[in-house]
Amino acid sequence: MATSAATITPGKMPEVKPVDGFLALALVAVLAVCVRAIWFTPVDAMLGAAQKIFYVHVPTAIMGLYVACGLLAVSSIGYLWIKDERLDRLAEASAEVGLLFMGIVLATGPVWARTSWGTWWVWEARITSTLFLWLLVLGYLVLRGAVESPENRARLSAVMGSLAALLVPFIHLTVKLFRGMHPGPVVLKPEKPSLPPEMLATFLMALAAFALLFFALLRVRFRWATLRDARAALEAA
Amino acid sequence: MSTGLFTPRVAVQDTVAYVAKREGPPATEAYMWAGYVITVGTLLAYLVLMARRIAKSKQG
Amino acid sequence: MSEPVSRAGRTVTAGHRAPAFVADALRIAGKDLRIEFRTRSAFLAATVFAVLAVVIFRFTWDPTAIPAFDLAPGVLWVIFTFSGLLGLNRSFGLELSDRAYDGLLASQVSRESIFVGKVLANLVFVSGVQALTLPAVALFFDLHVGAAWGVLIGIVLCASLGLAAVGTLFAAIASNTRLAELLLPMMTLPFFVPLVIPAAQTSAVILRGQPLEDAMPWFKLLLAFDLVFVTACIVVFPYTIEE
Repeated sequence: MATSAATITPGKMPEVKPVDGFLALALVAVLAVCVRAIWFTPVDAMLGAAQKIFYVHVPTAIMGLYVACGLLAVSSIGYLWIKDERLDRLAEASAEVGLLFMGIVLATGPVWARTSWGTWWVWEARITSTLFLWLLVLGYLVLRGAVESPENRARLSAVMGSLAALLVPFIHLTVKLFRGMHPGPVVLKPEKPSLPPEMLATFLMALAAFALLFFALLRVRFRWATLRDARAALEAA
Repeated sequence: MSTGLFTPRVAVQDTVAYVAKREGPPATEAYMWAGYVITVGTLLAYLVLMARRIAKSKQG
Repeated sequence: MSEPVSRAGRTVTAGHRAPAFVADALRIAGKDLRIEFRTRSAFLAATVFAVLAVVIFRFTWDPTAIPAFDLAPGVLWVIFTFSGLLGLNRSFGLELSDRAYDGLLASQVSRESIFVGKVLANLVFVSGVQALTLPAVALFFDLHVGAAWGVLIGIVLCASLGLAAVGTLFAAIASNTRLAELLLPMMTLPFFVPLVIPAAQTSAVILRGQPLEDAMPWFKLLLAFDLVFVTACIVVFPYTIEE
């Protein structure tokens, strides 16, 4: 147990609560949307109740794949450019929350795929790209964990983040070229069915709720990073 | 294996994947619950992790 | 040619810029290769690993289930990644003892030429190992390559360049961490995917005797990767060095 004699002056340490107002609101929104999706949205005639996974799967995919990875890329390149440590914390936070969201996508995907495609895993373009991105972000976080000095950590992970940003289009191209040579499963495309109005409404609400959740979690994770770094600086002094 | 939609009469009815039948949607509630439990469970686990990290940082 | 960033305050006259860069890079590549071939241990280890792996793959293969030209490209290029990693591991380890890396950095040589020199050394190493693995695969899998050897060697060089560039950069990053040997594969394998899959697909096209035009999209992807990542890694390398 650390027995640091330094007292935490309110001005110095950032105020962080695990669940602040914003996150609480986001959690309520997500819960409400889940209730609506499960009990107050019509059941798909072809796929049954399992189709409702779509309402959590697709919004988390959008947030985790596009928003999180986009933020990671931009903040990595930005850090190399202007060396602001807040960008480094943003990169760290978006990597971790992105990993979480992408993990949910990779876990719920097979559950849904089993019902709509009859198989747990398919080397379909999007799923494969998601798996690669997840592994890439995992590698990024492992790198961060392996570097001891905070300045080195920020700099080296920014290098990896920038290169990872460049890699993403190549992964997409490779996977697309690869899938283009083999026919996909001969079934409905569950991702973009033409949705009747109640389903569309639920989907849009789910998108909004998970977007709120993403940014709320990002904020908590960012603030904890600030607190952690301030503490480390204090203890090093 | 993905079942073809083009031979509904000849294809064997997969217990889970849907092949055209008349009695209504397949009973896949268990899968739906699995999906939602995974999502909410993972999020709650992350919240617990963050709470512990914050507590640890505050105490030192 | 990018101008060398001079951290020591040294100014370079315009006439010296390009030749100094290339000469420095070649000198560093030569130094690394000379050290390596004096002992030859890493090269031998990588080659022996590769050949043994080919043998193992050969014995776990059921020829009645999969024809040779379907399996061989995958085997060839998977082994390529792992034997390449064996070579990359040593590229910054050479200087780490005796803090010789600091000496190299303090010298008048630009960061970019250090990087290019090390990439060249790794390129020679990796394509050297692959040059020995290719005949092993052809032999053990009884492949008839014929006139397409030239194309295969071209693919080996292109893929080796991409692997050397990305791998050298991440080796520089990994040398700053604990568990460098574990971290290097974890960071680099996703980056090797746009190299290995096009290389394997192009090899498959050649081995099946299909027309080369079928492989053109893959080959273009491979070249694009090389172009983009060699440039990007040169640009980004100075950031891996602590000021």
